[in-house]
Amino acid sequence: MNRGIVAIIVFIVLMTASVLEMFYVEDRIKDLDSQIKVLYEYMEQDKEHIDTSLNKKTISKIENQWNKDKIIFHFLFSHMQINELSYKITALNRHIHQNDYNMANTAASAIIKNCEMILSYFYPTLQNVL
Amino acid sequence: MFTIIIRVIIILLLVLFVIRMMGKRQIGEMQPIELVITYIIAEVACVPMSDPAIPLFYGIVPILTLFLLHYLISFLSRKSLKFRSLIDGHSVMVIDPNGINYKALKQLNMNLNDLLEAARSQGYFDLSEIHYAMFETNGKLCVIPKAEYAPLKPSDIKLKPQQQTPPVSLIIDGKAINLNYFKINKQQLEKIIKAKTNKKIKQIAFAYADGQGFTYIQPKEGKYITANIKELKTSA
Repeated sequence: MNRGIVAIIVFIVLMTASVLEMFYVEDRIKDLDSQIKVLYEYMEQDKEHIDTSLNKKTISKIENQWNKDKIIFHFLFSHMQINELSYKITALNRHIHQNDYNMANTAASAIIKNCEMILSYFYPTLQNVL
Repeated sequence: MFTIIIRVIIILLLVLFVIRMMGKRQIGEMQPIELVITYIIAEVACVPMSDPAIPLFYGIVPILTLFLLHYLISFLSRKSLKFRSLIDGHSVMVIDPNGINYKALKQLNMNLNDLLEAARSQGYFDLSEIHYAMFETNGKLCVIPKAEYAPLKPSDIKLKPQQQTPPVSLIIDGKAINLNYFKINKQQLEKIIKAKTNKKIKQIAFAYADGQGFTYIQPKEGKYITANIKELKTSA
């Protein structure tokens, strides 16, 4: 096949994949971050009883969505980073079911921090490039 | 472990594809930029191959990006002589009729031993036999010998040898190929081989023939045989 055509195809694929990746990652991580923040607010409202059906339903929804998203994220980020986030989401789910506010609070903060870290390292900013 | 095996296969196929796309020179005589890209490809391919914690894309994307850069640099080199000179450098004359150009050698960051070694590898042990010699951008020394030391050509003694044609393989590892080129079928070839070697096609390791019909037949066991396929074809 003509090398020029192959180069153009590779260029288009790389550029399209980069743009789609940027939109996808930003959308999914921001979505996860906002849902965790909402859950955080719910937990803050009643620290003694965080095992409400609303909280359980919310965390289950978050976990299910994350289980779908992480398949793609494993292609894009370090497997350790994604596994860590998965572990923290599972832990948050467990702590909510156990009505353990302190541990759930720690897990939720860690997830929010992880989301920030993923996004801050992801954008092609000057500091990330350098 | 299975993950690593799959990763190795994917990366190997990708590197093979990219090297093939970069062209034949990538394999042999490389320009500086090609050497650099090949080294980097080898390096970036290794990391995700052996470390399952790193996504495969961390290897695939840099390799494809390097392929694109190589194509872009090659394209610009074709279009602009200045750019080509900047990327590939230029040939430097190191021996002229006055002898060794020491300044040029210094400019190439080479010493006399490097020059002597390169000359010897070209078959010149005596520098006085060399009229001109230059280092090409791929690091090869090209030599123009003095007329009295230049190899004799048939035209120098007014000879007109018959023009040769490239030999074409007939049998490789017991399998007949390129039969259409010689306008024969497998049965005819089988007959020819049987008549000449008393063996079957599958017992032949290698056979080729040139445009004049000169045929070289190497059985898997035993000495090689030469024949003329055109004559054998008529008799078959």
